[in-house]
Amino acid sequence: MLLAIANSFWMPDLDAVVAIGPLWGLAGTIVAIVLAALVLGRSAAVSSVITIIGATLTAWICFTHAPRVAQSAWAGLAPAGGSPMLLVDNFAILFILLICLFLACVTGLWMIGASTNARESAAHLRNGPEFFVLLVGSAFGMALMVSTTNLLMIILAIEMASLPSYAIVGFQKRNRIAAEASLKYVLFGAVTSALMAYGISLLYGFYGTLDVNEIGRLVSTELAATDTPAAAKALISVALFGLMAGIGFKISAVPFHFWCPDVFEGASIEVTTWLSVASKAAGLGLLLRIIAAVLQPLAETFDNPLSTTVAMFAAVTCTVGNLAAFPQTSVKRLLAYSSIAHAGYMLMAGAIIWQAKPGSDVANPAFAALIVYIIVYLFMNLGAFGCTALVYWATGSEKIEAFRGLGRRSPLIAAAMTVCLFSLVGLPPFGGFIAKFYLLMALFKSNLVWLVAVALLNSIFSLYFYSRIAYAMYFADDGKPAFSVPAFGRALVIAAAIVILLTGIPIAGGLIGRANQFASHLYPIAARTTFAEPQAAAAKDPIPLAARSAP
Amino acid sequence: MTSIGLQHYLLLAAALFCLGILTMTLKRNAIGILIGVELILNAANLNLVAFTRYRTGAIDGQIVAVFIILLAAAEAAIAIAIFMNFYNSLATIDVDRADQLQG
Amino acid sequence: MPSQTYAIWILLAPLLAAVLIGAVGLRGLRDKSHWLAIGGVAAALVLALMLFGQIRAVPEEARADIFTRSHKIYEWFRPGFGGLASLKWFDFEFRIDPLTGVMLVTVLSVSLMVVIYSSGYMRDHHGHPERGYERFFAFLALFIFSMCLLVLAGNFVLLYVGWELVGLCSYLLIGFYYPKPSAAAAAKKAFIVTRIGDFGFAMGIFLIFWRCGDVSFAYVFSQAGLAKLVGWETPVALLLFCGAVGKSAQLPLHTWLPDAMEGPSPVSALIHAATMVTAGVYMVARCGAIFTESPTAMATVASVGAITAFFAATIAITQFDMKRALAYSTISQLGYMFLGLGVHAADAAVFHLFTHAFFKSLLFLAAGSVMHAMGGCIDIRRFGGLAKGMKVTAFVFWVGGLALAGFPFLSGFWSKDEILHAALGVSLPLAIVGYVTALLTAFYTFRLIFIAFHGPLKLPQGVEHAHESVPAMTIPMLLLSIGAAGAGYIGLQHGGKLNELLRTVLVGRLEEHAPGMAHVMSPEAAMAMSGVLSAIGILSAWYIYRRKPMIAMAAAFAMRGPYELIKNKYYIDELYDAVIVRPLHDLGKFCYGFDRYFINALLWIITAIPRAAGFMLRSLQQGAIQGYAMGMVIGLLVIVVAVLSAT
Repeated sequence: MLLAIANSFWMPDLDAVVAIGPLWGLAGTIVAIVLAALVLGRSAAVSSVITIIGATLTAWICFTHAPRVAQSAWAGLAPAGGSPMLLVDNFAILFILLICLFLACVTGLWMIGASTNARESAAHLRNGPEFFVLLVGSAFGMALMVSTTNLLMIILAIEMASLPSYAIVGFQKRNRIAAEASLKYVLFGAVTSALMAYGISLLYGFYGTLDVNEIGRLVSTELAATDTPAAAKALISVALFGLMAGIGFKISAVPFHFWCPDVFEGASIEVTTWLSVASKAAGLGLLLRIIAAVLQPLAETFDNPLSTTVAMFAAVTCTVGNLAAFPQTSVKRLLAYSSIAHAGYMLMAGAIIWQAKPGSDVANPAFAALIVYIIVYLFMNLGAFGCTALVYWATGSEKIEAFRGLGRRSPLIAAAMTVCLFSLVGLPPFGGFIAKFYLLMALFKSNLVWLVAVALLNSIFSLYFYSRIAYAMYFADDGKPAFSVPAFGRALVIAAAIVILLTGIPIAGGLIGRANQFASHLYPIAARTTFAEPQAAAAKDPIPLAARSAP
Repeated sequence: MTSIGLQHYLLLAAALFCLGILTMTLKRNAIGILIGVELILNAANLNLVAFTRYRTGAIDGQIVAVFIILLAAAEAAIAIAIFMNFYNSLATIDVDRADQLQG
Repeated sequence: MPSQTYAIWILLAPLLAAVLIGAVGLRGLRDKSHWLAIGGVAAALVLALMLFGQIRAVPEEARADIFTRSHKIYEWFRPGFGGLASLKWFDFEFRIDPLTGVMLVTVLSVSLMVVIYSSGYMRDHHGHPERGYERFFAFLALFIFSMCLLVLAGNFVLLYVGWELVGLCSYLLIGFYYPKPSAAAAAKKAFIVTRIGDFGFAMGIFLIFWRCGDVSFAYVFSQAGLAKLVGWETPVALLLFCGAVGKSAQLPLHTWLPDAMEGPSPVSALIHAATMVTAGVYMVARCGAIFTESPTAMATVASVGAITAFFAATIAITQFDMKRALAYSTISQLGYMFLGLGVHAADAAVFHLFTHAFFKSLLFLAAGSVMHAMGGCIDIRRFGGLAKGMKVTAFVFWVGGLALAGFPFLSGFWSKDEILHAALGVSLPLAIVGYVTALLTAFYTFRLIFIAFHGPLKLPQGVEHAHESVPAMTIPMLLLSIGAAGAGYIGLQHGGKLNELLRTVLVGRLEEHAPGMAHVMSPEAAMAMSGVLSAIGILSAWYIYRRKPMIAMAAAFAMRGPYELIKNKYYIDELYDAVIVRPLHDLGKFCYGFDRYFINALLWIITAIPRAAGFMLRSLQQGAIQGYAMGMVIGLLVIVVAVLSAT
């Protein structure tokens, strides 16, 4: 009897269990940390090592998983006959892979911090297991965010990502600044998630379904059926913007960005690094899914005012981020504003995707550009925050003044920082240039010339404040003594710089080519909905990832 | 006299929503803001339940409502822990006092 | 193992060495840095030899197909975007054929000798490494990587990347002693002067891309590719040749090479004699398919080569700086190679490149050995009779000198003779210039030898005795002297295996392109003539500098005007200085003032706007959550209203 009930909701066959493999990887890591803390005692070192192993293992699962997805043309978990609750397709796998990679890097950064003497709080070390449970927990939430198209799961995933993040921001309990940062973060997060819940309740009411793809399909028919289209459109827009509030908060788009600089400044630097990239990547992944599923058909019926709105959104976010970074004196806060600005650049891609037809000449390059942007951005921010962290641990300050004379005091760190900064500006020959170049090309192709102009102008603005740091490093030596940094830390930031250089020219084409191929398969993957038609879907999308990556 | 229908619930929810927005923008006490958030969440819940009852007939809306109640609890738990932490260092939960980080 | 796997590891071995030395050289390796470089280069050499064996083993009938294939490693980038999908990918691709093989073996074997030599040279007499020891080896390994990339490149863009990378390494190594102003200036000069040629090279590549829509050798040199270039061969070839002129220091862009001798001697031997400067020759040989389509271009290449060969040889006679004299000799020999290319004897030119790499690097290393013993002095007026103290150095200098002079049966003899013989078949004046140059070559080479190594012992101030260098230096020199003496036998005239192999890929053997033209002289007669000329040169040098030293002075005095002209290198540097450098400098000063006082002020005014906006935005971020919530709500309202009014 019970079994029958269970079966009517969910079929726990092995295929379905395996289908969401990468998520098991992250969930298993959390369990492992807890178990290790119980069995081996509360050791920060053990937890951090488990985290790194778990992240690497999950990344490996992603790699093995991708071909299987392509083979079975299905990856997910759904009630029998219903729409999927979890959808671990190649799109999700890419993002989970990035998140895991970054999780390992941030854990590495944490270990470096823990090993330097400058680490003030022994409490931080003592509570290591909790910290890593929370960190991996937020990573798990982010992985969920990119692998669902169900509105309920979207709420749950965003909360799963957010709640541990609030806690790790305020993890240094006796630190006033951290307490304030976490207070702001939690209040902001609560408000935006409430707005999102309200928006979702409206969407559910209008279309009677929680599946985003289904809503996308119903949008035009429902609008055609109603006798007051203007009112219906208005209501849909309000509902959608409620949903967008949740995502906007995650990617810190204006006007949901206010928390970002304060939280980034208040949190400890590993946490800031983590939030600046992973949270944004996951938010963008979710946004892309929603755009591909709902907003795109919606835009067709709306004659494009939505697209313009998103473009405005992007332009304002970008400009606010860059301008507000001008007067900053703390590098951490400056990078926080920079991350807002970069969210703006990435949103610009959203503006095109929204406008274009699926699989068109414009949408695919925009997707591809965005994917490349996220990848490059990950390394740029890792490098920039990593260098800031190393300087902070060595000097106890994260102000721009602390960087004075770094070119002499620690030449390798200064060089890595310079690479990251100029890549953030988008100067050649760094990866940031390639990412921005392809993004702007896509914008240009879709006739959003004004947006290109805004982006270029912003890049010029940003050159000013990024080069202030570079100037301090190389031209404003105040004669402070040289310092040495942990070898592992040096290796981390130099590796990031090397990746940026590699993506700049040597492998840029390969990267964008892969991303293009990937993007051209995004729509069919994202639009695949029910359990019943895997075979038909397989016929539609016959190119497995393994074959794609073959030379 | 018309009978109570979907519209009434929606209007009540919208009213709750507006009250929630007002509460969270105007209250200076952190717990007050949290209560504003709860109002909005309850507006959402009301919507969901009403829609399920009057429009879709399926059960999933109510499931979402249950989950949102759960989330509200989780959020409140972590929020209040953070408020306590804040209180420990400032002896207040007046959010206006959280102005160290700015610019 | 497939051949591209060899190629990848040939590239990676020196690159890894460079990166590792760069990463841990300063802290960990220090005076052991050379081991990594030696290991990397030796590994690459072994692989290159194996690759060459594979190339040779390709059966006759498969050659045309396999040697024109491109070995794609990965897609590199695509010009254009989206709609321009018709454009081809630029691949990271290799070309693996006998030309590549010969170049790789040449470059890597000389490199290995030079790297070993450097481990002795870059130390003082007590065996302590010089300042920047690890930097030197990191740059050297990076150079070797770049040079291998250049010769392995399978398309023009990758070739250009290698081309610029070797230029960069050359700059870094010429300026190795950067605290010395003359070294810094020489480095800049080398970089800038070659850049003038590179501009033409880049234009040539653009032109090819514009006409063919692809830059892969496999396509451009195919029938289809060449068909698209019809009518454009001459501009394309001449522009490409510009690059070669800059890189290979031909007239009129030769001025940087003598100055480049400011770098350490091993650098002069490797980069500025054996490898990098021959990149131009390699490139023209590689593009033979385009050059041979244009008689104008071929004539230009031949004439520039012949004139440069003669002109540089005359200057070499008057120089007292041993390394500078050798530098002019390099320019002159490169001129020979271009002469060979221009008279449809590309295989002979590459053959000469191959032999020249050995004997010229040997001469430079020997000069370095002298310099090392003389405490940094290289002026042949200040020392003499060194043969007694430095037997090995004198011996290898003799071997190298004989090979350079084209003395019968040494390597230079075979290759030079082949070029001159081919020139005879095309143009009598060019051939005569070539033969005269051969005479001059023998003369100036032995002038150096007789002054520096023979006669009474004379040492510069501060040097007590001439002592032989350490084994780390003499052994590589001895090994190279074997190459300098015997390298010619690998590619003996016409029947030679090397030339046979090369001819399968090099376009432009005379017989195919000018079948009607008969040779003026039989190969044997030409060979005899080169031999005689070189003997005359050597004997006259012996007579003038050993028997009757007064003759030289008297001749210099009697022909004061021409002598001064030649000794001052025809005043070309001064000419460039007056005509180009100074006006540009003045223009630069003007622009600087304009930039500083006008543009800067303008910029300050413009940037004031974003800066002010930044401060305003900053004041929005008051820190209070209420304000943030208000901002958010207002923002949401604005958006909703905007959407509503739009719909």
